[in-house]
Amino acid sequence: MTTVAQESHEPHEHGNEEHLAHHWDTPKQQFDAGKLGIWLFLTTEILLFSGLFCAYSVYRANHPEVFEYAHLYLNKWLGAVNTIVLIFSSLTMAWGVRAAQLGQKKLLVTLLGITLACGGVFMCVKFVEYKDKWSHGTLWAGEYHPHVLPGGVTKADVFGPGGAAAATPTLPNAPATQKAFDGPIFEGSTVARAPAGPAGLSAAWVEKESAREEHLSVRDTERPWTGPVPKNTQIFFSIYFLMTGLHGLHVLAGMAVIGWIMLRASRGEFGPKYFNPVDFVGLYWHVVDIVWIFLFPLLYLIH
Amino acid sequence: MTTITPDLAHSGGVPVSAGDNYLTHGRGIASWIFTLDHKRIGVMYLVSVLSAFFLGGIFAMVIRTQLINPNGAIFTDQAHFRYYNEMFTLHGAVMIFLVLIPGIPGALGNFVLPIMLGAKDVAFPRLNLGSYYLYVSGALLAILAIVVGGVETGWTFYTPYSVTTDVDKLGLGKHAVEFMVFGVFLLGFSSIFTGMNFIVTMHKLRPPGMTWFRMPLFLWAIYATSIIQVLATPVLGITLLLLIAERTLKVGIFNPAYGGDPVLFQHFFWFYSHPAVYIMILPAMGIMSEVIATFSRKHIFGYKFIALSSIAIAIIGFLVWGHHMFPNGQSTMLATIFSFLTMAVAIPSAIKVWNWLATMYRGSIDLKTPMCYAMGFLFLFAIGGLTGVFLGTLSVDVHLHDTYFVVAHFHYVMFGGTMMGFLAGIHYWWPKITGKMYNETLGRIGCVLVFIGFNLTFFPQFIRARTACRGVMPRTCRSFIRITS
Amino acid sequence: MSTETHESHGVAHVMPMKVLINIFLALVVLTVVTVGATLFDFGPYNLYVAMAIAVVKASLVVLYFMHLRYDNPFNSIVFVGCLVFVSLFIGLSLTDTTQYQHKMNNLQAEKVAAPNVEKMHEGGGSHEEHGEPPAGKGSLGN
Repeated sequence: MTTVAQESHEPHEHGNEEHLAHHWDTPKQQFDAGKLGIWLFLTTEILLFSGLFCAYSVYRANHPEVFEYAHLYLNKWLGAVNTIVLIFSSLTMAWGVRAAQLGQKKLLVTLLGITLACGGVFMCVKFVEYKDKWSHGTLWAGEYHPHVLPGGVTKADVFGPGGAAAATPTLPNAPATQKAFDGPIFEGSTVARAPAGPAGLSAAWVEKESAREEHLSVRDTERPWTGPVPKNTQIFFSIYFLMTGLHGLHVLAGMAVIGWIMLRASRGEFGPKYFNPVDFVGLYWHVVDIVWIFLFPLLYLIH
Repeated sequence: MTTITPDLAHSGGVPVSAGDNYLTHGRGIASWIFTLDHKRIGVMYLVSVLSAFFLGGIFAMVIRTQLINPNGAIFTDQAHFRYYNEMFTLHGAVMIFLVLIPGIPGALGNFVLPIMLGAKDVAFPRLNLGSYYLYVSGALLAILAIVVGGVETGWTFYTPYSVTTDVDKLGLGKHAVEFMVFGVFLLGFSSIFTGMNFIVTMHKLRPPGMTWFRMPLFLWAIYATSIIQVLATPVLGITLLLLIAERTLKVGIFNPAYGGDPVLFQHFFWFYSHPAVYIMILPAMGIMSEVIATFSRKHIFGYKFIALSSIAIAIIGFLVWGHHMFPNGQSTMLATIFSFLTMAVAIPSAIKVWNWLATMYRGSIDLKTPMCYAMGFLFLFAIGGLTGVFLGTLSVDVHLHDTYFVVAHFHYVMFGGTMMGFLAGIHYWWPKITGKMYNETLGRIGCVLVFIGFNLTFFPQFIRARTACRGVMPRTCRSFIRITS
Repeated sequence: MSTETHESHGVAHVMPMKVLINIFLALVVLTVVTVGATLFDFGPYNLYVAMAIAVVKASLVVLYFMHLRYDNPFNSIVFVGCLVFVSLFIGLSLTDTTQYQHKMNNLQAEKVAAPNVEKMHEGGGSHEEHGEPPAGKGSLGN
C-alpha cells in the first residue's frame, strides 16, 4: 500500500516536476498509473475479504439459526455508531483529497487529523466490544466458553448469587440450564411462566427478572430468541472475530498511512500538481469503509 | 550461474555500445541489493529461482531414491516415513511457490518486459524490489519451517490434517506449519505485486505506436498471467491466514471438530491454486510464441488468436477449480459442472499449439538450443494437456484421483511445459542478459538429456496408474488396493 | 495516451463540496434505514433488504467518494471485474456447500463433537436431554 503511493516520490532529472519519477513523461501519466495500481491493489483487498465473506455465506446458508441466535450477543447500537463514525471519516477523507487538489494545506491537515481521530474512535469502540466478548467468554471457537446469555444476562442476575442453580455456569448450549431460562428470558417462549409467590418462585427472583427484562428490552426487544439454543454457536464468533479483526487491522494500517501523509501534508508537500498519495490513501480508506458497510448488517442486524 | 557479471569489454564479438551497461553501471553489493533497475531485479530473481530449483530437485532425488526399493531405500520403517512426507511436501512447495510461480514472470518477465514494451522501467520500481524481497523472506521462512520442525501436510495444506499435524525438532514450539504457511502468504503477495506492476506497466508505459495488438506475444502471456495473479492470489492469502488462525487460535472454520467445513478449505485453496497452474504455464506459452517464430524464421501464425487465447485461458482457468475435488466431498452437481468447464480450457490451449505448429509449417527451422527446448515443450505439453482432458472427465478422475497418473500429468505440464519453456527462455535471452553466448553444442546436449530423462522418469507413471497406485505413499505399492479418500 | 498537457488540477476531477456533503447525508440516512429495517420482518427477504441497502451505500462511496464515476473507465472495469470474480467464488462455493451439507451434519453427529460443547455438557447439562450420543473425540478432532 505505502509502496504504491510512494512510487511517485523519487529522485529524477526533470527540473520543474519535483515529484515526477524518471520513467514517466507527464504527471498525468504518473498519476493515472498510480491510480490504476491502487485500484488493482484494492481489488486484491476485496478478494482477500471475499474469502471471509464466502465463509460467512456458507455458514449462514447452512446454519441460519446460529446467526440469528448468536448475533443477539452483539450490541447493534455500538455497531451503528461505528458505521456513522467510519462514514464521517470517509467524508473527511474525500474532503481532504479535495483540499489537497485545491492546495488548502491547513484544511488538508485538519481533515486528515479528523479522519485519523475517527479511526481512533472506531478502534476504541471495537475495543469496548471485544472486551465485552472477552469478559463474557464469547470468543472464537477454540475459546468459546459463554457464561452469559444474549443481552449480557448472567445466571446470578436471574437466580441471585446464592441461588441453587448458580453453582453451575450458565451456558447457552447446555440444554438443561436452557430449560430454566426459556420462560423468563424470552417473551415468545411457549413455556408458561411459573407463578410467583410462595407456591412458585421467590418475589426477589421475579423482581430481578423484570429488571432484567427491562434491561433486555433496551437491547433487543424486536425479535427475542424463542427456540432452543442452536448447536455450533461458536462458529459465529469465529467468523465475527475474523471479519472484524481483519477489518480492524486494515483500519490500523489505514491510520498509519493517514498519519504518514498527514506528516507530509504538514510539510507542504501536496498541492494542485501533486496530491497522488492523498488520493491513493483516500481510496484505500474508502474501501475499509465499504467493507464495514457490509459487515454491519451482516453481523449486527440479522433478523 | 557464476557468470552474471562478465567483463563486457573483453567479451569479444558482442557489441557494447557505450561501454556502460546495467551490469557495470554500479558496482558493489549495495548497488545490487538496493537496485531499482528491472534488469538487475530480474537477474536476482533468476539466481534465486534457480537456487530454489536446485533445492527442490534435491528433494525430488530423495523421493525417487526412497522409492527405488519396494520397502523404501532411505526411510525404511514407520517411524521414519514422515521424513518421506516432509521431502514430498517440500518438493511440492518449493517447486510450486518458489520456482514455477515466480520463475518466468519474476526473472525473465522483469528483465525483458519493459525492454520489449519500449518502457524505461516497470511502473513501480520500488514495488518491484519489494516484491523480490517478499519472495526472499517467504523462501527463508519456508526454510525456517524445515529447520524448526518440518512440514508434512503436502503442498496443498489440506485441513484438518494441516491443523493437527505438529513436529517440534528444536524445542521452539510446534510452529513449523505456521512458518511455512506464512512464508507462502508472503510469496503470494510477492506474486500479486509483480502482477500489479506488469499490468500497470503494460497499460500506462506503452510508448506511442505500441498498440495492444502490436505487443509481442510474450507480453500478452504475461498480461494474462498478471490478471490471474491479481485476482486469484488474494484468496490464497486469506486461506493461509485462516489456516494460521486455525492453528494458533482454533477458529474452527475448516475444522469439523468445531463445526467447521474441511471441504470449504479445498474450495478456498483451489480457487487460487487451479488458476495458479495457469500462472505457471501461460508465461511459458508466451516464450514458445517468441522462440518458435524466431527459429522458424516466420511471423507467428494467428497472432490475435494466440494473444486472445491467453486471456481466455486466464478467465476460464477460474471456472474449473472443482476438478481437484471430485471425490473429496464435493457435490455431484458441482462436480459435473466443473468437469464440463474443464474441457473448455483445452480449447484455447489447443488453439495455441495449433498456431505454433502452423508457424513451423514450411518455416526454415533452425534447431538452436531454445528451439530444441521448444520442440520438447510441444511434445511434452501435448501429452500433459491430453492426459489433463482424461482427468477432467469426472468418471475417469474418480478412478485416477491421487494416483501416479495425476503425478505424471502434472509433471508433464509443469516440467514438460513450464520448465521446458523457462529453459528455452533462459537460453533465448541469455546473450541479452549476460552479454555472452552459451555453448551451442552443450546446450543441445543438455536439452536432449532433459528430454530423455524426463520421459524415463514420468512416462512409466502413467502406466503405473493402471494399478491405481497412490502417488503419495512412502513405499512403492505392489497391489491393486485403492485407498479411497 | 500520454499526450495530455497538464494544467493545475487538471490531473483529476475535483469533487464539489455540495456533492460530498449530500453523499454523506445519504449514507447516514441509509444507515438509519438499515437499522430501522430490523423493526420490520420481511420474512426470508430480510437479508436481501439489508444487502440491497448496503450495496446502495457502497455504490455511493465508490462512485462519489472514490471518484469512480469521473475516473478512467478502465478502473471501473477493474473494480467490476473483481466483483464478478468475488461472486463467482462465493456463488460456486455456496452452491456446493448446500449440496453436501447433509453429509457434513451426519458426520458431525456421528463421529465428531465440538470439544467446547462437550465441556459445556460437563458443566451444565446431561446428554440424554439434548438427545445427542455421548461425545467421543472424533478422528478429525483436534
